[in-house]
Amino acid sequence: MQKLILSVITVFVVIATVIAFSSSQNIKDTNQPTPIPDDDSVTVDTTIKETPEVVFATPKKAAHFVKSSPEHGTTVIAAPQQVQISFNFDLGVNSNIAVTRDGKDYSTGNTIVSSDRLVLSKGLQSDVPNGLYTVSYTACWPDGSCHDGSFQFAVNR
Amino acid sequence: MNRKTVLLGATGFLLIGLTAFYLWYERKIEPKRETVTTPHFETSTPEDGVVLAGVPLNVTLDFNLDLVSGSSILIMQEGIDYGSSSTEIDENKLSMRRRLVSNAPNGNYTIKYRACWINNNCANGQYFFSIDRSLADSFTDYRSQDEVVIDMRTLAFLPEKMRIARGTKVTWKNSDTVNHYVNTDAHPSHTYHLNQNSRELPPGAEYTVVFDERGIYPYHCSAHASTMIGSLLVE
Repeated sequence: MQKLILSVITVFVVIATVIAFSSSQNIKDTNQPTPIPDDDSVTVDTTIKETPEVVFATPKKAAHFVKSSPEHGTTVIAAPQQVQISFNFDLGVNSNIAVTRDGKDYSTGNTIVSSDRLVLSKGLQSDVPNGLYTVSYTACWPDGSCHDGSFQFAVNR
Repeated sequence: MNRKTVLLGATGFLLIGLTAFYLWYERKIEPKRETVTTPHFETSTPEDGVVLAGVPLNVTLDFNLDLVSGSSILIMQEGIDYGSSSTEIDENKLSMRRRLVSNAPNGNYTIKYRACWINNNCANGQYFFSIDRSLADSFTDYRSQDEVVIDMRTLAFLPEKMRIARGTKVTWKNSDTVNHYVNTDAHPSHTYHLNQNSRELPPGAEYTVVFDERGIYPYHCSAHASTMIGSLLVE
């Protein structure tokens, strides 16, 4: 009798241990129309290759970003007169644009917010050298909070 | 073998087994409540940790990099997904959303999402929110009215929390001396309920929206986003 009781208890413990071990494996949710893989690894490719000569970094878009001119990842044969960024919500004061290459800002004048408060623009020097340019902008909102963004273009005459 | 030793050993194994079973049960029913944020994540509606008086229309996640196909959202409670549609990526590609079933029960929800970007780089994230319908009692009840007015005055929405019936026409009126906005959460993405987004409203201006779907609608004034907030509960 004693052996029988001991055997039953041992079997129960083994079963419970196996179940507990299996809980450390992947647990799949039921009723899952779009399953999410359990791979938690993050591999973020920070480069977007447009041409073999230029490697553009991953852009960052502020909220309400609609489009930019030049567009991210483009190569132009002449320096644009200005950089323009369009949004679909009211921009606030202190919104700003900088256009840099190797740490030097090649923009000119002040950042201009359009009268409808949807477009930021800033002039660019006419004699900018060839190379990769980073447009870093700060979009500020009516409450004074700001969010930054960035994109790149290249000049190749 | 000594009888006492046998019983002692058996008891020990039994306790270990029960503990293991308990841990398995807990992990299956209640996943670990740890918020995980992916790269490029900006905001979400509902927010992480919020307790809502009603069912949200959808779960909306905002990022700062274009999303691509493969991105998805699960809205889980006790192993059941309460999403009512497939995950959609907004036209601006910076937000994705998934609707909830309108009768989702009270309780704690886990949002599990997978965000994918160019070159099929993907990452998983999760966060939590809760629904507690008893909180609806704190909302000012206007369910008997077809049209209601929310006053914008003293840097506040008055009333701040309003309970209305489906199909009610809501008009916000700026009775203040400064400009205001009526924008759906989150700030500044304004993506939760895209039909509830005004531009600048000067003193005296009005803004009107008809609410046809049941759910809870958190919103704010973008000029005073940290303090001027409101919520509509549509039933």
